[in-house]
Amino acid sequence: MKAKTTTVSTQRGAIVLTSVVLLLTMAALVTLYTGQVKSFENQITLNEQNRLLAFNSAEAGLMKALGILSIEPYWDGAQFTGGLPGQGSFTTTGSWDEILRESATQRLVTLESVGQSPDQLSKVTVTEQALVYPLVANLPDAPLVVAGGIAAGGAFEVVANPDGGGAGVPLSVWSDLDVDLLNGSTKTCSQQSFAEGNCSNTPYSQTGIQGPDILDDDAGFPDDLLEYIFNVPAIEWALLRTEADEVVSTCTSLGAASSGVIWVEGPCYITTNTLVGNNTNPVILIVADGDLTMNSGSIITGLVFSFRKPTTTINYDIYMTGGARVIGGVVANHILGHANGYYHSTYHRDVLTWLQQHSSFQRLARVPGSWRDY
Amino acid sequence: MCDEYNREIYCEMNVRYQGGYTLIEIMIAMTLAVGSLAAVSSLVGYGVGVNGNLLNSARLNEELGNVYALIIADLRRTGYSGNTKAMVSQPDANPSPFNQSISISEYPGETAQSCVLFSYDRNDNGTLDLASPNENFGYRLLDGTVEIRRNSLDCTSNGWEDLTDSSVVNVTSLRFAFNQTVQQGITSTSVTVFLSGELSANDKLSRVYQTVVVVRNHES
Repeated sequence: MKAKTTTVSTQRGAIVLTSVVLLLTMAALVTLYTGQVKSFENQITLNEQNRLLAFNSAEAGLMKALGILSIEPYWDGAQFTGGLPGQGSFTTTGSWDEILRESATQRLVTLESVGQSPDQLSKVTVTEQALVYPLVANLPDAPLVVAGGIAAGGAFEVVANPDGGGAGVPLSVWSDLDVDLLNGSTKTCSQQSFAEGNCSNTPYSQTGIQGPDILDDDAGFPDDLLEYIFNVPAIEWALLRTEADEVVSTCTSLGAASSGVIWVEGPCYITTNTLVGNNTNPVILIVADGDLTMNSGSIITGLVFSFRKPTTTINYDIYMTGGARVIGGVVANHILGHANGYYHSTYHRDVLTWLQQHSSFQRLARVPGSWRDY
Repeated sequence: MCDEYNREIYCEMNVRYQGGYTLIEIMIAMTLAVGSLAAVSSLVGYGVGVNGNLLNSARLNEELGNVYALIIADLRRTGYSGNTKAMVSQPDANPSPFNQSISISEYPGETAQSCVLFSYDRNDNGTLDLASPNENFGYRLLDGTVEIRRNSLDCTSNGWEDLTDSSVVNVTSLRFAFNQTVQQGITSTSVTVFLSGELSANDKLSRVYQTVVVVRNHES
């Protein structure tokens, strides 16, 4: 009877116990299911984060490649790797195409960057193209190119481009208006004559006699010289200034170490015997709204552009005294010679060609429409 | 058994055991049992409720988050063309058919700027294809649902395809804002995308997304 009594008592407890156990089991199952759902959600979040990290890494690789190109325009596109600390890695390569654009061969580089998340579970590939182009879109065909004509009042010596008017056709001066050689001392001659010191004896043109090497009143002269030379409209000159390696308000700092594109705001005064640029490191000197004065013995090797801004009405000029000269070319978008001055410009094909090829004068542009991530 | 032999010992004991629990004991035991069951039931109910909320939240995230990611990724590609080499070489002779393709408007009666149209060169062949694949893309809001463009239809036409399930998610807002800035002569284009929605079964559960997408290929 004792055992029977104990059995009754246990059966009562079993009901409660069974209920509690069932409920606890249910709670445990629900908790497990919830954990599973949360775990799944967490995995989704991780995957999204991984993709973002991989994408950002790929973009970082692309930006780095563009940065390299802007510093080394002739970068060979060799593969490089890198990463964002703790946020993924990238592998980037470049490949080149030579394309013909506006009569010039330019380089189109296709960059491909593969980004990976830190756990390497996500990978994103982005590609973009960039164009490496010379800042000088068109080289001056003549050693002296002037919009507005020339009224030569002082000494005027120009050494012609032997092929400026076509193969074997020399060109010394090119202008849209009249080039007046009636006054002052004028002479233009060939490279050989100049080299032999016979410019005065065998001139193409001289005071009172205008030869075919001076092309003036030319209807085909560009409307906008800044745009013709640099592919930047005169009205947007500020864009070109942003491309300059150096923007100065005086030319006192210029010297043999100067290189690249130098933009001068206001008058530029080159002191005696100062050499600016050389055959292997020529300069592009843009003098905006100011006179260019070159004292005796000073030489600028490269391209000189005397630029009058569209809103400016004052005429500026170029003064070269005592053997000062420009080796390369001189371009002005305004009349020259309103005051007595001395001009000496010697065309130098190699120097000017170098202006299109030297890495200092290469610029980089991302090609719109070339970016993709698929 | 209460026989002759053990009568005194067991039968007297049985009398004591059969007396059982007192009423107070039973009441206490029952109270404890009911309390335990209530507590466990509450725990289970809470767990089920939390799980339901999590499932709803996950569903909302899936519906809205995935659609949003799709819109962002697609918009970013706007203007891509596989013919850039010819475009760079001879721009006048090879204009991009994908250039300046972003257009923002709305379906009549819907929120302003809730529809965006754009195109990009999905198959990289340099031409704007209208079939297999159709390279005119777009997204819009209509009746609380995000729709994707089909067959080059414009914003005011019917026939777009639903991306979200209105029985699950009610999209309360979808807006696109076109932005252009010019710095140092370079035009930068971006589109601000704003998306918000709530669970149809529980409007207290909602999500809001906003991002500025830089459209790298948009030419000014």
